[in-house]
Amino acid sequence: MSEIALFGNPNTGKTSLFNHLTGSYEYVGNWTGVTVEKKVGLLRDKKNHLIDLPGIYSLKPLSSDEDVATLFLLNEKFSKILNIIDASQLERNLHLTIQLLEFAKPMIIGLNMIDVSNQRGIKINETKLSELLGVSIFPIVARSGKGCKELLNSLDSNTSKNIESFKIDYGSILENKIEELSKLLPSNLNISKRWLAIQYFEGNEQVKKYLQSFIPENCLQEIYLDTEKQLITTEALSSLTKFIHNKRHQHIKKITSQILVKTKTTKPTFTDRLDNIVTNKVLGIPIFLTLLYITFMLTFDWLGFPLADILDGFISGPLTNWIMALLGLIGASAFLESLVIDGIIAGVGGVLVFVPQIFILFFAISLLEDSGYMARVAMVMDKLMEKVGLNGKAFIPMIIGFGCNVPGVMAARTIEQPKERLLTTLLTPFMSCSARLPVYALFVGAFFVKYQAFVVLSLYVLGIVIALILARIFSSVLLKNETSVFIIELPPYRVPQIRTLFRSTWDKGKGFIRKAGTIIFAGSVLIWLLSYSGPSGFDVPMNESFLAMIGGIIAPLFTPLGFGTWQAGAGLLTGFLAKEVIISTMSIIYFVPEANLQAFMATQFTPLSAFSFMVFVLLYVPCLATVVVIQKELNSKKWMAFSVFISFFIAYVLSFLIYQGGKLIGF
Amino acid sequence: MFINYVFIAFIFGYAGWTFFKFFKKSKKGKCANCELNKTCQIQCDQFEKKETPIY
Repeated sequence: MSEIALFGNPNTGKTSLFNHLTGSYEYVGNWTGVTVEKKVGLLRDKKNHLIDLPGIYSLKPLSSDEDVATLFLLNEKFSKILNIIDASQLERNLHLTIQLLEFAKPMIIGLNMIDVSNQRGIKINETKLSELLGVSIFPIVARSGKGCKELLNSLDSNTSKNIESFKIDYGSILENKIEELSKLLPSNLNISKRWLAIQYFEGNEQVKKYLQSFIPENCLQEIYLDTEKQLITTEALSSLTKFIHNKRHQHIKKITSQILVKTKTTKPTFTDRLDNIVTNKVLGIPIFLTLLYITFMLTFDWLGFPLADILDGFISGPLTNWIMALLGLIGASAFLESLVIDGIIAGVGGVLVFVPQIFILFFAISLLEDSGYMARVAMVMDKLMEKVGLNGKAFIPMIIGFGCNVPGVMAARTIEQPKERLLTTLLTPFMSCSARLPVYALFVGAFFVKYQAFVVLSLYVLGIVIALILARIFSSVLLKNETSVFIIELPPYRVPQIRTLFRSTWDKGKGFIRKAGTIIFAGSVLIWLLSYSGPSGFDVPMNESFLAMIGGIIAPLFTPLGFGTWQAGAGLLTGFLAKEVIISTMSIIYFVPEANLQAFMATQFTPLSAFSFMVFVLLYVPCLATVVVIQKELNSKKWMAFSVFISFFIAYVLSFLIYQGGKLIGF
Repeated sequence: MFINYVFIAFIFGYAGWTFFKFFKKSKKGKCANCELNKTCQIQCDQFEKKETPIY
């Protein structure tokens, strides 16, 4: 079985193509940086593996995700390259194509988004392009799958031409130096020596490291400096990297002049007109907030709450009755009955009630992503992020963090500057992930019925504001004198495909259901056991249980915040496993047969202490999985501990201010 | 009575096993937590580890 490597610029539809060719379903996002690791899938014909690599503009690595591609070329065995090119951005895409052609492996090009380029009035002469590059080219529309079958067939056949012949003339000075460097390399090398030399002169650090295993560092450095010196004097250029870039650019211009036909004069497209409004300096952020507000109205008031109510009625009514009858039939003991009814049904059922709301939220997020709007959000936030010392790119991991903080933290890898990356990793957990939503849903349903969406929106915005303030503080300490620019590709707006939308929603939401059957189930059993047993044995009154004792130890700490009860303490402790477990704990502790949990909650909290509790849950500590990922990504236990400490500290101070301040002004 | 013990043993057994798996998975970190772990055929840790400097 042979391996085929999939290369392309960011957001050219690589993952869509990967899904079509392998028949798998991987997460597709209509923005850059969705793929941060290479991933491998089996092609539909079961004959070859396809390896999807992160999107890159050039092989010269800037950020760690770009390292993946160069390291792959240097170290991995594969038989062919499949390069996917965005037809509507041909000139820029060809820079990577040329570097891949120089690698001199058999290559096939998938020319994607020909529909978009046709709409823009750009026609591409594919036969001529194929002739000029010396490789086979297949026009495709990866989103709909058009042309993918032909591409798949060609991957299997051995028709891909040998591309040894592809060569750009970099001028006599550089060509001589490429020759000189190539001669210093061992003759049995599997990788094209010309490619290695060009990449070295371009400043590819990974290639430099690779070459150092054959050539002494000072010798390499000498060749480099000598070449640069010669070129700077003769060509009046600032650097060798720039010289190579210019040469490639000239070559690309020559190609495009022969293959591009403009069929109509470009007038502002629908995308351009819409972008003028949604990325407007003044309107951008209010539009984003309005869309978030609509999302929450849908999640709570309009659709989510009525659905959750029906589900709640079913779980606490017929389902519980059936299970009770079944338990009676088998002659269950009081212990087993309590375990099933007060433990599992209360704990797992209490969380499952919120499934409709979680799915509605994910559906709305998928809709915003797939339509192309989310990429604009990053751009809209760029100005604000710049003021706090980061840039719009850092907002992308944070948006991903709204779904789940774990992939959010991982997405911070796409940020080039190490310090900016560190900061983004530390701040992403402040984004309110979907696991926190059931906690909000329970409390807003009990205390803020009229303003549900508004209260939840305020919590999401609070998370963002805290992250921005911390970014400002940290960046003035950590990021002095470090600047970077934010470049983002704005994809055209499109009507999301229903199939993709449902699959994407399911993909995000299935984890929640899986959790209900695993960690929430296990957590519920443990919490029930702790609440059922105490120093005096089993079936003790709840207030004398082990759970009450454990919760009681930390409860006084929360008295100034308005929720100094052992019940809240126990909920917060167990919430570290996964935030949804807070709900399981509350459901088990406050379990009242035949009564509504939310109505009972109203006797335990006041609206002010409930809001203070929600703010605390939003900020207090990242969940276990996120903490571990932070440690792995930053490769530092100290930073992980710092992340836990700072979130707890901020949560405490803020909840304190809210509760005490609220009391002062008479709430 | 016997059936009671069977159910109780099953529920606690499953809960215990889930906890064990959960902590093992959490320790493994990003791979186990990754959405792609079912289809991905490589280990993410092949990716070169980067030191993040402490300032």
